[in-house]
Amino acid sequence: MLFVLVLIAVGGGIVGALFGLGGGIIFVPVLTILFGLDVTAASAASLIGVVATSSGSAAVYLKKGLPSIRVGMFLEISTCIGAAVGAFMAAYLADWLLCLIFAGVMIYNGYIMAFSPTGRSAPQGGKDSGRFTWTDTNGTTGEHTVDHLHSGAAMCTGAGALSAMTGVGGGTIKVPIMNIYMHIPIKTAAATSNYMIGLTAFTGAIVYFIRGQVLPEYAAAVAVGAFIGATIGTVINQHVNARAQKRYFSVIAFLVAALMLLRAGGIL
Amino acid sequence: MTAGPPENRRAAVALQYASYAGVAVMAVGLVLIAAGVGETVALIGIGLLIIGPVLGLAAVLVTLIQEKDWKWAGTAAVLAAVLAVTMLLSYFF
Repeated sequence: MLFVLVLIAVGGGIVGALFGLGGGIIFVPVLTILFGLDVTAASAASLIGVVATSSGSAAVYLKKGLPSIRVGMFLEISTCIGAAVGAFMAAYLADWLLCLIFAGVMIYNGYIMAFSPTGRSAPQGGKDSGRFTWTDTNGTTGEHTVDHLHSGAAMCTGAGALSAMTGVGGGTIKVPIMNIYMHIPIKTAAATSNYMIGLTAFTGAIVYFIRGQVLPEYAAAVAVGAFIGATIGTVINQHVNARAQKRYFSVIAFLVAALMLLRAGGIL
Repeated sequence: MTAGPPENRRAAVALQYASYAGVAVMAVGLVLIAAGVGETVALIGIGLLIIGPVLGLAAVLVTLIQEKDWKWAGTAAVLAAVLAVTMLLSYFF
């Protein structure tokens, strides 16, 4: 069964690398529904898998200059604070409630990515904007404007809390925040999210690790598979159209939401 | 050759080494678990893996200090402090 988990985690790693996610949207439902783990144990294993996905893909994207480490670090301060709070709160919340929260977040993000008007609007500049350097998908390195820096950071606090409570890396929330609200191109947002989610997941994972709540066989199986998948995903990403990426993201989000709602209702 | 700002390369190297080491040790640990030997090796691999992002951040901080980019070095330092406080809180509570 652990080998099956490794294979599933490979798929999660590919999805994670493609969409700027950690793969937790696959790891958590699989661990709870297929392997019968409670949400806390599944979250702990998932967060370690998220670190693996992030590390595997971020290293490749960083060499290509795709992510903006500076945007990532700035947003990550509030995200990590949220993650620390979320990890402590998770021990006191019921299983079904965590599944419900997870499903709600996925529905919201799927809707946003599916129905955002023409994708990213052009950056507006203004008081809460900044200039950052990254490399476009056509290989051109240059400065770009990012809007709503501080309000985007505030929204990322919630992303961090949800990350730790539900075992996902927060990319499902942070990618839409960066793309739609902060006007960062989808591939840059996804690559930056891949870098960020490693730190977010670390903040949650280290709490579970220190407290002895990690089940090593499940966590290691997820992490090994996720790392392999993330490496494959970075290669596939070069050939995927940005508009298609958003469409596929929303399909995955709605599917996972449905599974977690069934789990919250005790059906799965 | 690495594109983008200079901190990208060092962060990439730190992430790569930590993740390869962690995944390799975990893979060995999984085999040992399957053989009924124990979970310690897998736990060590997990520890190596999850420390990777922090090592990447440390590499970014060092690079920004060397570049004398004090604003962003300060941002990296604040982020490192948040991570450190979180670890301490989890240890004591």
